[in-house]
Amino acid sequence: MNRHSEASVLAAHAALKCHEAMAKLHRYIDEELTLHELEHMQAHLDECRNCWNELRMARGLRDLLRRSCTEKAPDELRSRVTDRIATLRRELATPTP
Amino acid sequence: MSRSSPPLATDADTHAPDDSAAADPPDEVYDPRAEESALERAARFEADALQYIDQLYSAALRMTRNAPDAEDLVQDAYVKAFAAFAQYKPGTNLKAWMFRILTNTFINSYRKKQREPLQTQSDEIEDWQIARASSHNGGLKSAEIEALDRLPDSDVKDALAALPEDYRMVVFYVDIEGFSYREVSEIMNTPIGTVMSRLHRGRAQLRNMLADYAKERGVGR
Repeated sequence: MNRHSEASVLAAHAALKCHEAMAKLHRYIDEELTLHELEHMQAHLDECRNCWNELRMARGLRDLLRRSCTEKAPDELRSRVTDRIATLRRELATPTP
Repeated sequence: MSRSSPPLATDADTHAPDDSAAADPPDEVYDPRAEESALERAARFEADALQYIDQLYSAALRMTRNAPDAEDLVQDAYVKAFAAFAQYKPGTNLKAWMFRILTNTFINSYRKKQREPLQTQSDEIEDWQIARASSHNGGLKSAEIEALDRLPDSDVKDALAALPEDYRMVVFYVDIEGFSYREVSEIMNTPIGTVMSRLHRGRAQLRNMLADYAKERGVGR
C-alpha cells in the first residue's frame, strides 16, 4: 500500500500543471526541450485538450509566418551580387602593382 | 576580466569586416600558392555563400522594411562577407555566419537611417499582452485557428513589421528561418535567455495583432 501511494505521489509530482506546460510551450515547438522535459510535456498534452489547442495555435502561427514572410530575392539583386563577387574575384586574380 | 564573452567572439570580421581583406597580399614577395588559395577561397565563397541570398534578402526586408534598402544591405553584406571569408572556419555554420554579418552590417550602416522610436515597450503592457495571448481563452480562440490561414500575406507581413526590431528579428530567425536559440544568440550577439524572452513577447504581440486583424476582417467567426 505504501508503495502504491508513493508511486502516485511521484506521478503527481511528475505531472505537469497547465501553467508549467504553457511555460514550456515555446521550447517544445522549437524543439529545445530536454528529453526528460519532452516526455513530461507529451504526457501532459495527451491529457489536456486546452494545452493541446494552445500548441496547435502556436504551430499555426509559425506556419503562417513561414508561408507569408518567405521571400525570393529579385533577379536583379541576384545578378548584382553575383557580378560584384565575380569582379572582386577577378581583382584577386590580377595582382595589383 | 569579463566572463560573459559573446559566443562568437572570435569573429572579429563581423564587427570590422572591411579591414580583414588583408589576407590576400601576404608580403612583397609574389607567392603563387598564397594567391591560388585566395582564389580557391573566393571560388568556395561563390559556391557556398550565394545559395543563401533568398533568406538573407528576406531577413534584410524585415530589418529595413523597404525593398531598396534591403537590396543594398544584402549586397553590402555579401561584399563584407567576401572580404572576411578567410576568417570563416570551414565546417562551422556558414548560414549563421552570413546572417551575423548581415545583422552587423545593418546595425553599423543602416539602422541609423531607420526611423523607429519603438525599440522596447513597457514590460507591464507586454506582460499583459502575453497573458492575453497565452491564456486559454484569450487572443485567438482555438476555434479560430483556421481563420489565420485566411488572412492575406500582407496582414501577416504588416504585423511582423510592426513588432519592435529586436522581437521581430528573433521571431524571424526562429519561426521563419528555423534557427535554434543558440544560433540566434550567436547571430544577434545576445544571451539565450534574452532570445527566449524576446521570442515569447514577439509571438504574443503578433498573435494579439493577428487576432485583431482577423476580427476587423470578420474572419474566424
